[in-house]
Amino acid sequence: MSGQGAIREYLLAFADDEHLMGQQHTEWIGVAPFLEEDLAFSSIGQDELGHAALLYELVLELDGIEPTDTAVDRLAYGRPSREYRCCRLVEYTTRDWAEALARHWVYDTFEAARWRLVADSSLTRLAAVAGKALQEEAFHRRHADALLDKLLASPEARTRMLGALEAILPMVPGLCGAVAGEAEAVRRGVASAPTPDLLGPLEKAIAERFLVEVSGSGSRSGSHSTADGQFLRTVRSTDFEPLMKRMREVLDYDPEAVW
Amino acid sequence: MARSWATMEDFEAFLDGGGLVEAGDGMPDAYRRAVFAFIEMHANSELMGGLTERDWIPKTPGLRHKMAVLAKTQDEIGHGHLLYMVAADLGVKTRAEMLEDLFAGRSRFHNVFHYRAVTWGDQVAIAFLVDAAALISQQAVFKNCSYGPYKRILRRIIAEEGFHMRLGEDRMMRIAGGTARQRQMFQESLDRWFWPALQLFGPDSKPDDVLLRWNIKSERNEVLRDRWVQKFVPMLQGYGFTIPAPDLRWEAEARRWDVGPIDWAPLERTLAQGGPDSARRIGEAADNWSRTAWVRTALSDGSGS
Amino acid sequence: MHVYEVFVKKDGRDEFRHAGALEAATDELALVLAREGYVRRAEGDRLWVVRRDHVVAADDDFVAPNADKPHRHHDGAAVAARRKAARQSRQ
Repeated sequence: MSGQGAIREYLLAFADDEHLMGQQHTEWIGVAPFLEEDLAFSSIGQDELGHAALLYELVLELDGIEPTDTAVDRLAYGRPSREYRCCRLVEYTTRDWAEALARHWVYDTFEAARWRLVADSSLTRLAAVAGKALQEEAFHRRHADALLDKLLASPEARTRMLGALEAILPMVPGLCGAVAGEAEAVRRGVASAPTPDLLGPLEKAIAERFLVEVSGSGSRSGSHSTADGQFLRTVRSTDFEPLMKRMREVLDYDPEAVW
Repeated sequence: MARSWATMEDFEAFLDGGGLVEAGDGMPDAYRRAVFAFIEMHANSELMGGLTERDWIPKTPGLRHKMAVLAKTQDEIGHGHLLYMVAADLGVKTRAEMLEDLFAGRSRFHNVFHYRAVTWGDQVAIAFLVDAAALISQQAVFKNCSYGPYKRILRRIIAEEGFHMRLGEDRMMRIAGGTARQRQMFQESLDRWFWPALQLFGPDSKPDDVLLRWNIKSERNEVLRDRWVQKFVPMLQGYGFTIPAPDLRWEAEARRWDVGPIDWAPLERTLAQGGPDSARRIGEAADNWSRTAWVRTALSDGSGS
Repeated sequence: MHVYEVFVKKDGRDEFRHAGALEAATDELALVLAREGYVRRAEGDRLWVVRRDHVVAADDDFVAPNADKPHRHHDGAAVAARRKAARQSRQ
């Protein structure tokens, strides 16, 4: 894969993860456990969508396309499924708020580490976005931690949270999964290390936060394997199509329209 | 001790002098109940408005567009939050009791939030027409509101509704200047939402309305409704849309629009029986409320730290 | 759950002002939730949350007598009138 192609894949995976994660968080507006949480979780979702928009702009710049809102939307919503590079964790339709919170903590812990990998990126625009994103991530983590501090201390809530974590854990290796050409992107200084390097520390952090054994902790670290069935993030899970169809409904109604 | 008034006459004299009542005051019970019911209904309406918009958020056409729409819906839920906090301090119902009454279908909210937003055009029509109607009502309450905590929180709410109006108008202008299908969609939305939005102001105020007597409201329903008509009829026509009012006419001498007789039957039916879509939305919210009870229980555990 | 009162201040401007209230289980949650409830549009850049049951409030009757202490105000109109009279008598 060409250097440019590798960088594009890398940015696209990042952007698609942020896009879908933001989308998923925003589904809780109006139906979170209490009103204050509606507001906080919605803000976090908005932040993630904002990161996605900035990352899509970087992809468009690589493609030599002017990064207008329309171009961003075409990239965000207009690709065939196989051209998305998101991981299964962000595609997953959670069954309840416990799963949403467990995913929020896991994802944001991973995301902060991912931004740190590109904080000194050779792509200076990416490094600039990382600076802003890392400030926001500090809040996201504090939000999730403040809730977990209290919930994990209560026996019933702890049981529910651990059940939720169990559903989330199998998708964690995929979250740290590489895209094709990732090694090349790292060689070119886009990121200081490949994404799969984050798996070991992430599993360790999960074990410490939830006080559970995370099986295989560290053992898959550094692996570029396709054992999760995502084949370098090129395969979509069954939750993806219905979600994307819903997101495209108005855009598909009139492809000529500007809204 | 906080302030109190020996007689209703003393209390009304205090209000007539521009007095502001505070939460801890020994206000007459009838005033407490009236101001509570008004704020509770406002809070319910904000929350129900947020739930109406919620259905369409995932379908918002555009990433940054979606962020703007989310920020708006977040505000509506936020207004509900601010208002429930203020209402709870009146000591009539707790915040949880208000929400549980709403989810059990025991509470009132504005008529418009009983209806279903059928298309994206409806989402825009609500943001534009309904929010404008709500803003006109709220500005009139703010101007002369005798209940201090409500008046202070309205300042913030009104400022945020201003953002929503601009967002709604901007989206409406894009549609007006857009494709034939877009304009057709919005015209159909206007046909659905014009009358419900106009009826948000309610029927003409009764002469002895205590809300007016006690400076909870400052202007009569028909005055506010007319303000909305005079602003939005020419604006919508200017963008090339048709007002769905067969008897609409321009009174040249008075220089004002007359929308003709208002059919209140649909509103009365809605208020009596619930609307076409509110039961589903409330059911969904109620279901989520009970499914997340464990979170609230766990958070209420112990003394906190 | 506790009720927290939320105070917000703009840098270099004004005093801390009461912005509203919220319910939260812990101080940390109160801060986290106040951030998105009350300053999400940068309404201020300083944020305090105070548990309502920790606020020490005076009775109205305790404060009211201080509304009637004219000797602490030195009525501006009276001074201005005297100043004017003095100016006129000099002419």
